[in-house]
Formats: sequence, structure tokens, C-alpha cells
Amino acid sequence: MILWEQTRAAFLCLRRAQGRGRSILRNPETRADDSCFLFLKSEVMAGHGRRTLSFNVDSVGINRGDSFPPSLQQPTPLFPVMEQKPLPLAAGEEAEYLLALKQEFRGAMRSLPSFIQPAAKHRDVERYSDKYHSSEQSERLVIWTPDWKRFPRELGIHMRKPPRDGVSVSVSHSTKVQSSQKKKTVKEKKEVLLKLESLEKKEEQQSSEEEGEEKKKQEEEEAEGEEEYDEEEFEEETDYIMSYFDNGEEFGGDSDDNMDEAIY
Amino acid sequence: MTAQEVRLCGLLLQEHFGEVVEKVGTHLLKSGAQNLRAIVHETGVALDLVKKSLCVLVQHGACVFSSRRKGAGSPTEYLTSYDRILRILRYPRYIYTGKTLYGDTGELIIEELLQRGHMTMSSIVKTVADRLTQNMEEGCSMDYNEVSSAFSKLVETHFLQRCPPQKTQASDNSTTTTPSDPVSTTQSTPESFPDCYKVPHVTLVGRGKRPHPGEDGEDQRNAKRPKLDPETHGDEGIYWQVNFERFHLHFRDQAIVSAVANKLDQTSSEIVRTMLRMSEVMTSPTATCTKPLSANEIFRALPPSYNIARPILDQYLTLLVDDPMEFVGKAGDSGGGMFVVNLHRALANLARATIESVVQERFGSRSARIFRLLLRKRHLEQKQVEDFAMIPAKEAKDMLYTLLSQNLVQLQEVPKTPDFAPSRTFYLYTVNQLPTVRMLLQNCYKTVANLIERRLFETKESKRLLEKSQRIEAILASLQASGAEPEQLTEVEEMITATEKQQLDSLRLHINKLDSAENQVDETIFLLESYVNSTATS
Amino acid sequence: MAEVKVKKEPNLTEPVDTENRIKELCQQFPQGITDQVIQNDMPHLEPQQRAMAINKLLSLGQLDLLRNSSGLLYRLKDSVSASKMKGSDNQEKLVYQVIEDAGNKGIWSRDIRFKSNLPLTEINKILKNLESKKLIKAVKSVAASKKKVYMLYNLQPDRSVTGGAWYSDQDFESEFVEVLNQQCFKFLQSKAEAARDGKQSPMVQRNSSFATSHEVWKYISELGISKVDLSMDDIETILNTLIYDGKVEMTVIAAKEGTVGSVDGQMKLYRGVNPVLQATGLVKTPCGLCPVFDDCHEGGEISPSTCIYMTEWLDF
Repeated sequence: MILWEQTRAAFLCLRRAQGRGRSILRNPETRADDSCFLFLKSEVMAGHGRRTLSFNVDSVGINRGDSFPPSLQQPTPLFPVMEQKPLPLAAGEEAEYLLALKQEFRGAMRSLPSFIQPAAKHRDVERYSDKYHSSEQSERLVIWTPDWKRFPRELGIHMRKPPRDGVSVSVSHSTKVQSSQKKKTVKEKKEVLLKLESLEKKEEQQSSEEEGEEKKKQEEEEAEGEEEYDEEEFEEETDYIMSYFDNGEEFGGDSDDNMDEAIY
Repeated sequence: MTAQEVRLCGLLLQEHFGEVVEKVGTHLLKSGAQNLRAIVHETGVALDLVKKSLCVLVQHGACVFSSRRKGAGSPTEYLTSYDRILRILRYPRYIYTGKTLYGDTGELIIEELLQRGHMTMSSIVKTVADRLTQNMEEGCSMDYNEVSSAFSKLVETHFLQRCPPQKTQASDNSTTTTPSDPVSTTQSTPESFPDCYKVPHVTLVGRGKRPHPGEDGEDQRNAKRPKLDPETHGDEGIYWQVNFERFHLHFRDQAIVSAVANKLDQTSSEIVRTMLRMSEVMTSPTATCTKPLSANEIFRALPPSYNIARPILDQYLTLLVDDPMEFVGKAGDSGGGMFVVNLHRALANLARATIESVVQERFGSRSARIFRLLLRKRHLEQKQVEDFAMIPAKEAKDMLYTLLSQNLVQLQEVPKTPDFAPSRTFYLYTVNQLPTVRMLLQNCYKTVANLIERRLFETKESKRLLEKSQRIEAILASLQASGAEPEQLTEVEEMITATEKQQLDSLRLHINKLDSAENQVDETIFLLESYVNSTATS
Repeated sequence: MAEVKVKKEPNLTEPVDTENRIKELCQQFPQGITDQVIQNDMPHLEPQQRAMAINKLLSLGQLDLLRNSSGLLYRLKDSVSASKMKGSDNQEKLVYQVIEDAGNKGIWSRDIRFKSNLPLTEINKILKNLESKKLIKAVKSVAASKKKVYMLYNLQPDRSVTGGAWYSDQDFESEFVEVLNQQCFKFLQSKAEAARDGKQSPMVQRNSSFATSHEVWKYISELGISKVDLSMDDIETILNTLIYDGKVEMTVIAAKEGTVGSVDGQMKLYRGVNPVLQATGLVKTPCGLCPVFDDCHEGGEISPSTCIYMTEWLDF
């Protein structure tokens, strides 16, 4: 079997080498087909000088006297000519509609909170283009807060939004705070909300050691400091952050990075 | 999982969730289950970003978490599955099916759910009602009830299902499980929960809201935040997700009906469609064939527009049974004859036709003849191939070696004598359908990844031009909003030269072609995956 | 008184006269005569006597026995070749006889050796001799391309030697096969279409879309595109290639013995079929057909970004 395999391998090597135009032997003088011939010659030698091969040539399909495939005089092109062309793509209403759905979906996902931007560089100079970028940012949709009941606790992080004019802070699912505080100033609002929330949370919290440990761990990790956090004081420790997935404004959405792809 | 699968998943994550999620997700795909600290450590991504990425992945069902060991202090481990991420390729098809089955409402429900991962019924209904309202005429709005009823229908037909309830540490204080029970590492299937397809009782009264034009941005944002709405509707904590398997059964049925229409005729395909429709509810997803249906039943269930006589139906059924592809089988004689649709056989035939199609287009008709010949006859010697295919020796040899080098054909040695002497051994060519299908499936994944990368490349190449075009559009928009003169607008428009416009048009065409091609390769992927999965269960 | 010519009745019992008469007939018909011709000429002759005369002439080397598609032919032995043979010795005659016996299927040298019991070297010498005298010829057998069979010089080699209808001078006639392939398919296709247009019940439609191999054979023969005679077996080989092309289906049904086209109580029915799947998505992309697919990866020389097939395809 080894012999057959070797012959086949030699033949295949030959074909592949022809396809890529590379010599499979280090000696540039020796061409690829010679290696195949050399192999068969060695086979003959192995037959102790008798002009027999140890396998039945007919069954292999190579016949004595058959010439090897014509050898090439130069390397084949990197992209050989492709004779068969791809068949045309399906056209029609359904294909068009599916295409539109795909592109719209992709565009929509980019503007959702689930599209996470990498940590942004701070801009030293305010760019003219920023005026136009930020307007695009504001089109981003809803802030999303996960339902923490369905997620491991460790995935919650401490975070505070810096106050933004005119924007009321969203609250997590489980809060029942009414939104009538819109009229108050943001900071006041926030503090009240925070207090209320933290009171609620305290009630719900299990005071287990495990949680304490975890909290500590989280605090430590937070303390390692990420630049994009504002240096807001942590009034209370809450396990549930309030606006977790924002529309990215706080995370330096002014960078050009998100302009890599037009939304098709 | 293979390198191609990881590559493709990475690209899909990147396009839909950004680079950060891509990095975290790809890492998890390669590493297997890992805890948070390890992920942060090994990816080098900041902790908060890792956490957010994991939330996103979990939200979209791409990642599951569990505690390996019971007891306090055992870290939660996260596990990502590649096949769930690959489903993103098929999202357009799911959404489109929602449309064909349940109209625009159905379409939007599916689309919203796919965008958000999972949602409660009430939030879906409200969001979809708002979206539908926006597209309606002034003064009209969509009633929540209409959306609710479409939602219910989707649940009844199992296209939507409840997310399995999660047991997280947060809910440990409830008494559902004792603290010593480990949370199961393998997610139990949604269907193992009895309420999986139960629509909750919700109080949802109202109509969709339209954002008021002309008000400042703040109120606009407020209008888009249903979360501010303090109402509760009685379904808190009950989340819904798209049931991909159900859609796949639907696509499978579509493929079978289409195959029958191609091979035989329209009427035969309608008969098969009827049979499949009748069996929808009672056939298990992994069944080899549908439950037997009597000719009488089939006759009664035919759509009224197909007014064929009973004896003619019998003829069609007989012809379906006689067809070499065996779409339909006879399972008995009562009730005028009992018939089944041979699901697995149909998938095998479709997979076979697919790989034959690939060989034909890539290597030509005569190589395809050899390929089909080997599929039929299993094992043949060189000479036999030449004779049956009627291709001269030299060319047949060439073709066989090409197919061999591409691993589409294999060589088997059958010894005539125990000593395996080469001169006394049969060398037989053969084709094995299943491994060949698997290989082509990997090629499909690679192809889609190639298409995506080319699309990203084309976009990057034209980045400046695209940015310029977007800036100009933004300027135009703001000018128009502030009531500029038409001359000013034209001036701005002309900032894009004709050549640039042409380039942009050409870019658009390229991108559309690449995107469309992705959709169509996914059709191939679906057929091949379905066949491979069917062999696992049959 | 008018002279009455009395026709001398051929003496029925004189074999020599029979033999001479046969020879005369052969001279009259140099291309050869069949047994029937002899019978017609001498109807009173007993078959046994006829046979004896023929055999005598054959053994004397005065008559040649040939076979064609319709039966046996008797021909006056070429006096030229007869004279040629005069110079040969008995060994040559023996070898010649052996070759002659092989008819148009020919015989190869090794078998000649077995049959004549002469050493190989002798055989080869004789064969060379006979060939140069143009009494025999060597024909390459398609079965084993290195083997040569010997037969009498003026014989038409049998199909099994030349490869039958598909070979012309040892060359496989690919084009011919392709043409037949297409013609058979067209025939079956039009039959299927006619069946569909007939708008009969589905069963009748399907049955009338079938054609037996005999029908196809008849159609092809009448087309007259073939230089050689094609047998029904030949047509079935072509039809099989259509099956492997995925264009045709075959069923076998039981047929009464004697039904036209039936073989061993069976008939093969063929019909054109539609493909179950139009082209699959993968082959609509360049990657599906790409010759360097395996070498392609992002960042390499061959990559999606640098791919010229993609460029071509996108601009198409």
C-alpha cells in the first residue's frame, strides 16, 4: 500500500505543483514531474534491475510509455483562469426583500445598546465633525437595563452616570419609582432616586457572606480605575447599576471609530 | 469546532455587537467554559467591558452561565455556543417568514425579538404597535390587541417560546431549589418546561404611539422609552425568544415541497404540502417520516382550490410513492391507503443534489457524471468508471485524480490476497455522502466569511468617500430643517462630484451583491446542516 | 427433324459435379455465395450432399469460408493466395489454418502457439512471413492495448476487437458519444413533453412519457447519424450515461417473451426527468468554484480582499 500511496502522492504532488508553479524540490533544475519519474525509476531499481514494478501499472492507471502531463516552463499565475463562472444570484422580490431585511437589521443593531464600543480615546481638540457625529449619536435608541434576575450577579457593575441636562435618569426594571421627578433638577433627582433605590435594594439583599465577598471583589476591581468613569463619589453601594447600557455617549462616543462602516 | 466556524462567528459578532463582544465571544468559543476573571485575564479586555459583553451574549442566547460546583465561592462559568451565533446569518429569513405567515405585525415581532434577544410580551406588543403606528397614515394607530393576537398566534404555532426560567443567585432566596443543588450546567431545553407555549394573561390596553414631529429631541427620546412607563401588565419576568428549531422545520417543509414541485409537478407538491401541514403538530422534530395519513384524510384536507377527483388523488399518491426519490412512502392499506412523507430521505436527496450541483459547476458535466456514477455504484475500478461513464481513459483518469485531490472522491484498497500485494489488490474509487457533505459545509462557512471580509474591505477602501457622503447628507438635513434656500442645498449637493457619485453607486452594488450572496449561501448551509443533523438522529 | 437437345441432367450422385457447380457459382459471384444460393441452384440436392461438397472444397483449400451478419459465405479461394501458399511449408500452412479458424475475432500469438504446438520463435518467423505476403494482418485489440491479434488479411475485425461502435481506429469517439447522448435525451425529453401536453390523467401521462430502449434505438437508427450499426445494447450504454448525468430515469418492467425489444422477459423503460434542485447557493459565488480556495486566507497573497475573481464577479 505504501508504494501505491507514494505513487499517488507523487502524482498528486505533481498536479499540485503544476497548479502553483512552485518547484517541489529544492533544486530548481529538477522540475516537478521529474520527481514523479524519479520515484518510479527507483521503483524499478527496487525490482532488482528487472524492468518490473511491484504494482500492477494497469490498475493504477499509469501505463508505461504514457507521458506525464506536460510540464510547465513558468510558474502558474496566482489566480489561474477560472473557466466556469459562478451562476447568477437569485433575483426577484423575495431576494430583494431579504437583502433589505439583512442590511436594515445590521444597521439597527449598530444603534442598539447591545453594540458595545471599545474604550474611547479622549479628544484633545474638539473637531468640527463632532457636531455632526453627536447628532447621529442621539438617534440611538433606548437605554437598556438587563433584568438582573436572569443574569449572574457578578456581571453588574457600579456605575454612575454624570448628570446630563434635561435627561431623566432611567431606572431598572424592578423599581417602581414614578417618573414625576422630571421637574426637579437632575442632581437632586438622582440623589433621591439613588436613596430610594438603595433602600429598596437593601431590603432585597441577602446578607450572606458570599455577597459581601463578591461586593468587595467588585469594589476592588472598580477601584483599579477605568478612565472613562467620572470621578463621581459613590454615595451608596448598589448592586444594580441604574443605567447600565446607555447609548454610548458617556463612553466617548465622539470618536471616529464607529465610522468604519456606513450603515447599509 | 473548526477554525472556519470560529472565524465566521467572530465576524458575525463583530458586525452586530461590535469588536469588544467579538473579542470576548471568540475567546470563549475557543476556550470553552470559563469564569469571569479568567476571561478578563486572557482577553486583556477591561472588566466592565467584559461584563457588558457577557450580558449581551447571554441576552441573545449565545452564552449560558452556570456554577460548576455547588456551594459558596464556586465561580460562575460562561459557555458560548457557535451554532447559536451562526444563526444570525439566517435572521433575514426568520423575519421574512414572520411576514409571510402573519403579515407586517408578525414580521416586526420577530425582528424586535431578534434585535433584543428576549423580551416580555408586553414590551414587544407596545414596541411593535409603536413601530406599526409610525408607518400608518396620520391619525391612525395600531391597537395593542391586534399585535397581541398576532403574538399569540406565533406562540400557538410554536414559533415563539418562553425562555427557560433562570435560577440565578439573585433568586436563591426563593424556595424553588435548595441551595445545595447545583444549577445544571447544561441548559434544559425550553420545551422541558410545561408553560413553554403558554401565553400569559396580560392586561394590555391601548394603541401604538407616534413620536410627535417637531418637538425637541428630549421628548422624542422620552417617547421611545417604554421603560419609563410605569405600567405593569402582569407578565413581568416572563420572557420570550424566537424558537429557531420551529422555523427550521418550516424551512425544511418548504424545501421538500419545492423539490417535489421541481421534480414532479405543482399538484403533487400541493398534496405533499397538505400532508406536511396535517402532520405539523404531531410529528416530532427528529422524526424520520411523518405519521401515516390515510388517503381519505388527505383528500378532505386538500385546499379547496385543488379540485381533483378522488381517484386522481390516488394516482398522484401512487406516482409519488413510485418516484425513485421516494418522497412519499406507503405505510398501509386502510383508509384508502396510508401514506407518510419520508422526511429524512428527502433531506438526503436534497443534500445529494446539492453536492452534485457543486461538482457540476466547479468541475464540469463529465466530472459530475463520474461523481454521480460513483454515488450510485458505490465502488468502481478505474476501468469500470471509464466504461460506464463513456469517457476515454486519459480524460477519466485526469478527472478522477482532480476529484481525488479535492477529497470529493476516495480511493479504497481491497486486497484479493491476504498479503496486500499491490498487483493483487483492487483499487476502488468511492464517494461517501456524509463526509463529503460535512466538508462542503465547512467550505460554505469559509465562503460566507470570505464574502463578509470582502464587504468590510470594500467599505474600508471607500471609507473617506463614505464619510464625506454622510457628512454632506447631515449638512443637507440640518440645512433643510432650518429652512435653507434651494440654492444653498444644491451647492452642498454638488460637493460630491459625478465620479464620486459613480463610485458610491458602484460600491452600493458591490455591497448588495455580497450581502445577497451571503443569504443564498445560507440556503445551502441550511440544507446541508439539516441533512447532517438528520443522520445524527436516524 | 429438329434436334432435341437433351439436357444432361446433373448426375445426382456425382459429388464432383456438385463441387464443380459450386465453384462455378463462386466464380459467378466473386463476393461469395451463401448456402441458400447453392440450394436455389440445385434444389434437388440433399442437404447432406451439399454439405459434403462444401466441406470437400474447403479441405482442399479451394473454397474460403467466411461469415457475415447474415450467415456463412463461401468464396472461391483466391488463386493468388492459393499460389502463394504453395511455397509454404506445412508449418506455415498450419499456422495459417489456425488463424483462419479464428475468423474475424483474431487470435494472439500465444494462443497460436498452444494450438499449433510450435515453438514461439518459429511462430514469430512464420507470422512475419505471412504478414509480408499479405495473407494475415495484426489488429490491435482494444481490450488490451498492447496485445495484437492476428487474422486473415481481408477480414473485417469483429467488434470485440476494435471496441465496437465507439472506437474508430483505436480512438474513442468522444464526440460521437456526446452527440448520441444529446440525441437520445432530446428524444426522451420531447416524449415527456408530449405526455405532459396531452393533459391526461397523471398515471397515463407518466406512462406515456416512457420510451423503451428499443424505441430509442429505432429512433436513433432512423436518424442515420451513425456510420456503424448500433445495437440496442449500445443504445442502452448511452442511455445509462444519461442516468449518470441525472437527466434520465430507468425502470424495468416484465414483458412477455417475444415482445419487441424485450430481453429475457424484461424491458427497460427510460424517461427524461427534471432536476430536483436548481443550482445551489454556494455555486453562485466565486468561492464555490474557486481553484485556489484552499490557499485563501485573509492577510495572504490569496485573500478575499485581493481576490480577482471577486473583483470580476462584483463588476459583472
